[in-house]
Amino acid sequence: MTELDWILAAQQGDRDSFACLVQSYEQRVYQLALRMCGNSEDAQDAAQEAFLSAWRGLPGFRREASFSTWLFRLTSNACIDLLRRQKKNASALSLEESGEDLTSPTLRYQPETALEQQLLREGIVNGLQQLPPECRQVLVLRELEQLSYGEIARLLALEEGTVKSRIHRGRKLLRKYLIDNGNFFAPSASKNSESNRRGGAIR
Amino acid sequence: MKVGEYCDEFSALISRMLDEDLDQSEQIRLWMHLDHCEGCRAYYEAQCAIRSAIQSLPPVEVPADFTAGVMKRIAEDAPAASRTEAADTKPQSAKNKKTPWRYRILPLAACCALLLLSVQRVGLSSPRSTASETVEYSTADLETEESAGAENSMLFAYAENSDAVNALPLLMLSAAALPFFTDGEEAAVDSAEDGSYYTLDSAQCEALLLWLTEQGLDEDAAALQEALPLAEDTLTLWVWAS
Repeated sequence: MTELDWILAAQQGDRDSFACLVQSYEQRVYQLALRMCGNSEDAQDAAQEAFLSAWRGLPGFRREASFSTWLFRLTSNACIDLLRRQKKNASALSLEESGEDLTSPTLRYQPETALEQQLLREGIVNGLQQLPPECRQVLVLRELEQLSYGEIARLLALEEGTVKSRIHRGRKLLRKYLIDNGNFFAPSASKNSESNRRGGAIR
Repeated sequence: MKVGEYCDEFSALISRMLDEDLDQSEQIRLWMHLDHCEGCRAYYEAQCAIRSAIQSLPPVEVPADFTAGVMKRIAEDAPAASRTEAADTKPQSAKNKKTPWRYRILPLAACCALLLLSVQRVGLSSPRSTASETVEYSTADLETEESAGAENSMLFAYAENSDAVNALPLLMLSAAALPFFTDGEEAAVDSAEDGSYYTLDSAQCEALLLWLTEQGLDEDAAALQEALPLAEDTLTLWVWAS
């Protein structure tokens, strides 16, 4: 059966077909939820909620958007709802509060060793969690799902300009987090080497 | 420029360049700037490294029992009859709608009618003065086999621009309000051929209010009265029973 067959059958209440859709999309939905929520427990809750919403909403799904786009929207909304409920965004980064970068431009941005690459990836996973949810939402959809501005705008019912500015803001904040937490690297001879690895999230 | 700073204007262009959103003249302008601005060049390099690292994040491992967990929640989802139109979808044609509805309702003896109530408030027109005559409850205009048990149902209404799945209902009416839509003169409200949704303009909303009052459904009348001012010029309420 094709995905369309599963969708049509699930629309008519066929749970086995819906289970096939869940299995087909669980990886991408769970990954999106994990990158947005930051921990596996919340990600599982949000991803399950998204699929439950999909099951309930399928009879009205008109395929005006692709099933995956629709499902990502439900996932994204489930994550945002969960984060709002938990008020996790209280610890989000703020450029206004923390001021601009004061770091040296001589930092090395391309990790050279496996350890540096690993540290950068860890920093990014942690840094994403420090972004305001609305920035994280669009950045994750852009970078992980590689959706275009237009696709994200349609998916989240936002103006394209809003999507662009949120992605831009998310990138600025993420870079700032990585620099402040030592996830970018100074040349070994640099006197900034230690001071740039001071760790800890900006508050 | 201080050490470590970059230009806000060009950082925005850098972000758009990463997303291939620049036209040719913007690209040339940005490259000329990067040629002499060390801060923006460092910013660009950092953003390239971030993108590369994000895209190289290892795939996450989905919990082994994830699908089973989803299907368990679906099985436990008591108001499963509330499977209905997603908030961003439009009513389906009656022809396409009957079969899926029947499929999803039949296994759920406790659940019944699926209604979609559209309320279009196009300004405040003069109230319609006629109330419908009292009619006995009948599900004849719905699909009879699915609507058994509607007496114990509630009608849930959601605003069109909200997420009907996740949002709190704007309005809840008891099943006793159902006859307004299914029987009598007031059933003249626009509805789908299979009776699965109903459209009321502002005058019809007021007629419903009057009808609820006449039926002694004071709580429903109060709920409706409270909800109507929340309506914008055009408001669609999604209503289903569980």
